[in-house]
This record gives sequence, structure tokens and C-alpha cells, in this order.
Amino acid sequence: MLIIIFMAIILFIADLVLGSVIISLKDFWEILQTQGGETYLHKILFNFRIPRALTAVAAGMALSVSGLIMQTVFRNPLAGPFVLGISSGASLGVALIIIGFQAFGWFSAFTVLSNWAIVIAALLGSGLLLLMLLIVSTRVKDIMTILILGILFSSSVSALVSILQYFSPEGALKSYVIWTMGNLGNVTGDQLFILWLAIGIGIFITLFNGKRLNIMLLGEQYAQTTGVNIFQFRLLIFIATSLLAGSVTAFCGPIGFIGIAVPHIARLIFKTTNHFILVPGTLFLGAAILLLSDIVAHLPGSDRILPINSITALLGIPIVIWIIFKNRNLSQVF
Amino acid sequence: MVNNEGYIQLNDLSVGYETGRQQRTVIPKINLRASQGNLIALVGANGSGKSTLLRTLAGIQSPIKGSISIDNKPIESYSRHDLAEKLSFVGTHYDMHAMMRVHQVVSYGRYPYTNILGHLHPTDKMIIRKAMHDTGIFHLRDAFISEISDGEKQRVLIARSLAQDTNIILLDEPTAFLDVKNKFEILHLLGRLAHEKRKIILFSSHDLQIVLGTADLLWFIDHKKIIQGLPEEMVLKNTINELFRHSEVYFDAENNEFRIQRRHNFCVRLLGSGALYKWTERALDRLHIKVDNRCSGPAIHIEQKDQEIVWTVNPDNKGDEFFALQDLIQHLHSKYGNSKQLR
Repeated sequence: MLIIIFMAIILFIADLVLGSVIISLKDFWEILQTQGGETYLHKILFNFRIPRALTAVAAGMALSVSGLIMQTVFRNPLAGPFVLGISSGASLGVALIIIGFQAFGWFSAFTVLSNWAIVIAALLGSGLLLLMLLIVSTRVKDIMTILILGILFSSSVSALVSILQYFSPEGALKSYVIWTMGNLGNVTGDQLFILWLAIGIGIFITLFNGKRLNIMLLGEQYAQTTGVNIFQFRLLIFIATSLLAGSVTAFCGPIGFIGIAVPHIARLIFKTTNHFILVPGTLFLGAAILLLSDIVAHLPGSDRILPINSITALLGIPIVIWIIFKNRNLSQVF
Repeated sequence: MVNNEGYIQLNDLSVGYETGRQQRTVIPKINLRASQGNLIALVGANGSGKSTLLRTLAGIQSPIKGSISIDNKPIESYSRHDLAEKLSFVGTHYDMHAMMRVHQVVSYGRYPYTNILGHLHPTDKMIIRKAMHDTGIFHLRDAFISEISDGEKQRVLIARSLAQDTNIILLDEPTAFLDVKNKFEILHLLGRLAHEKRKIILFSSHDLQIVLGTADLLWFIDHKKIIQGLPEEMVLKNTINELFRHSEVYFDAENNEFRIQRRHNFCVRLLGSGALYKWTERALDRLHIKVDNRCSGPAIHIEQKDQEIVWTVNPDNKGDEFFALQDLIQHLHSKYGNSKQLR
């Protein structure tokens, strides 16, 4: 655990110093020591690098933990933060606002609102989908049915998004596609604060439910007959997931792969299913892996940036494959 | 005093399930009472409502009508948490998370008694150790679930419910998917726990043969009714055979076994005794030859000579001798298979 925390800290600093302009560790130290400096490097660090790294940490933590709890609650190794349809809901909101606004010629209004408009649209979209799922889950008791309904909702929403895309002008389409590729660099100031607040609450709810998550591994019947109120538990977990995955998606776009892969890596590393160990482990591992992806995405030394979503997949998949071969069987671990 | 003993009482209880707005009652109006120190087997055909009843008693689903009371208080008046201190449930074992360790699973039985972080006090740890000792899995405490056998998994789950320290333990098909040896051992363990720890243990099963030798009481589901009685009484009163009313299977009370009603091609007389007689008779019966000592067909004499078993057909007339049962039966079929007068 200490090693992973240490790794996360190293990667955090690496993410700060590496980029199109490489800051030497000596300069980095000096910048941190000078108060209110106005140098060129100082601006890069405080206005761009630190918010971006903090966003990466938040997003990595949130996506991984929400993936972990979804895998536990649905007892499915393929579950991830988006099985409840959070990313599709957000996509619909964003597609409506980007494509819709441009199609109706409100583009100027949209650019003024830009960031916040996208965030709010994404939150509304994912919130709406989650609300639908919660209403359904009061009537449906079987957790597998809820999982399938979540997937069905997502698919139908994706279909709507496709229709929007089909009728959208080229410029809007490109803006939308770029949003779906994920971006850690757009979150600053107030937005960063809100992102961390939402994620903090989400993580708190998760830890608060650690004991119940553990007992959930035996199946719902056991949880129920040892005193867990299943409905209340599900409600809390769904709220935590939407806070975690929903806010990240709203601010950074749908960042894939991390949420499904990191919990598996954590289980393999810690060789346990105890959530009081897995949750902190997943938090730091998720942060470390997204920081690493961010460093790679920025191609240190060049001024090009790759989409973060491609990097998480390209970087993460070899890690998982390596672990699978080392341990031979992933399903044995789940 | 008897009045201080724990019990679970079913009053006019109807169990079933709801699909949309429709209610389907599986077993109506059950009036039964189970008291401490009994191992009770819930027996019935597939789909007769065994699981539905158990799930209703465990509070996993609600009754359609009527009530359940535990120790003089209706089940609804217990909170989920309080109920968890009275009653534990052992479900199926094959969907357990593979990477949990045995002691971890058992420790989850302490869930109702621990704080929000699941912290185990020394007394909790002692109870967990004792539960593992009582079920004979203490040596496996650090093994992963994926490393132990099905019978051991079942023991782990039983240990978990012992750790939950409840008067009532409900088990859904604890012997399913186990081999015969494990089936007997699990039921023997449950019987011991019921008697020594004065628990009410109710389990569902369709292994009648094994249940008959181990359970203290049967709750026998037949045509939407539950009949209660001692297993032996159920056999004597032929209640058991009600299960197979329209089938070719019947329960042979004399031999404590299930048999299939067969059509016989012809009959023979069998001269012999003991295991030799019984197993020869079984083989003949299975291959459509009836054993009937008033039969006019051939007589077969069985005897053990040194290391060998010899079957002699019509010994009075110095008939053929056979050293393998298969050869004997082949011979009988080829010689008497078409003779109509021997049916």
C-alpha cells in the first residue's frame, strides 16, 4: 500500500514537471518556494499543470472506486462506473447542448457559457438516467435485472445521440467527438473545487458502506439475513457512483477503461476482497494510473497532446494482460 | 421450562410470489411450529415451494397471507438487524466470491454485532474460531474459497451462520451438488448442532433417502399441503409414496430405497439368502426378470464357493452353472425370453 501511495506521489510530481515544457526539478523546487512569482514557468505550473494533475488524481480515484463498487454490487467482473448509464446520460446532455445549440444557430450563446454549460448538461443527463434507474429499482428487486435495464437505457440513449450526430453540422460533430475523447485540462478554480467536493462525498459514502460491501460478496440473500437493508444500501451506492463517475464525466468527458481495470489490478496486488483495504488501494492506484496516462498523453518534450481516453486504454490494457498472464486466471480472483 | 424455549410459529401462513399485480400462492394456510433442538427437513418435489417457504421464513420475501412469529413476537416487529440475531440463512454456495478466505467468510457472520468498520473484538474472534472448530474447518481457515471442495464450502457457510449466533438456522438445499459421503456428513453435522446447541435447524432437501436417516422431523410438502411427522412414520404410513403417485418410482420401505416399477418379461424362482440374494434380485429386476417364488419358471440357486459366486439354473436337473451375473441373465433371456406362460 505504501509503495502505491509513494508511486502516486512520484507520478503526481512527474505530471507537474513533464509536458510540452519540461521543468527541471531544481526549477520546480524554486517555483514552489517563491511566493507570488510571475515568471513564465510559475504561470505554467500554477495555471495549468497543478489543476490538471489535481483533476487527474480526482478522476483516477473516482472512476476506479466507482468501478470497484459497481463490480461488487452487481457481482460482475465486467461492471464499471458506467453500467448504470451515467456516461450515456451525460453524452446525451452534452450532445444536445453542443449539437443542438449549433444546429439552431445559438452558437454564440453557447461559447459564452461553454464550460459550465457542458458540465451542467452532462450532470443533468446522467442525473436523469440515474433517476429513471432508481425509480425502476424500487419495483425490480433482482440486481441482475437492474444491470440489464441500465445497459438497455444506455443503448437507447446512445441511439438518440447517434441520431443527433447524424443531423449535426460538421463543426458541432467535431466538438462533440473531442468531448468524448476526454480532457483533464479544462478544470480550474471553482470547477476543480466542485469536482473534489463531489468526489470527497462519494468516497466518504463508499467507506461508510465498506462493511456492507464486504458482506455483499456473499450475495444479497446473505446480506439481507445478516441485517443489511438492501434498498437503502443500493440507494446510497447509486448516489455515490453518480457523484463519483457523474462529476468526472461532466468535467472531463467519459474516460474509459480505468474504472473497469483498476479494481482488478488492486485485487490482484492486495490479494484480498476486503473493501477497507481495496477502497484505499483502488483510490491511489487509480490516481497513479491516470497520472501516468496523462504524462504519456502529453508526450513530454513535444507540444502535441493525445486524447486521454486512447492513452488509458493503450496503457492500461497491456498492464491487465500482463497481470492476467502472471496470475493465469482473472475470474479466479474475482 | 418449555415456555422459555425459542420457537418459530407459522400461523395460517400462505407463501408464494407476486408477478406484477398477480399473486401466486404456492402453499396456502400453513400452521406449524418448530421448537429448539430439532433438525427438520423440508421435503417435496421440485417446484413444490420449498425455497419459497424458506425465503419467506428468512424474511427475504413477504408472506402473501398469515403470519410468522419468532419467540412470541411477530416477524414484522423485528427490525432487519434484530431478526439477524434470531435467524440466519444458508443459501447456495456456488456463487461465493472465490478470493475470500475461509475465516473471512465466517467472520461475516458477526456482521450484526460489529461496528461500522466491522471491527472484531476478542469475543467475536473467539466465536469465529469456535464456529470453525464446530464445523471441522479450522485447519482450512486461511485457504481461499476457490481452493476448497464443495462439501467444505458448505461447512464454511454453516460456520458463518453459527458465528451469527442465532437460535434458528434455515438452509436451502445444503446437500445439493454434494457426493453421498458429504451429504451424510453435512446432515450429521446439522443434527449434532441441533441437538447439542439446542438450535432449530430447518433445511430443504430432495434427498429423501438420506433425510430419512438423519432428520428429527419431516415437513412433507404434498399437493400444496405440509404434513408433519417423524420420518419413520412417514414411511410406515406410506406418505412418502404420495410423492410418486403418478410415476414409475416408488419407495421401498423394507429396503429404504427408491425403486422403479418395471415391466417384467418372465419370472424365476431364486434360492439363496443375504446379500447374494438381494443383489441378484436387484439385477434381475432391473433387467426385466421378476423374482417370484410361486413362479413356475426356472429356479436359480446361488452359493458362494471359495472365492467365487456360482449361479446354478435348475440345480435339481444339474443345470448350467454361471460365474458371472451378466452371463446368467443373458442365458435366461435367450432361453425364456419368449415363453409367454412364464409371465
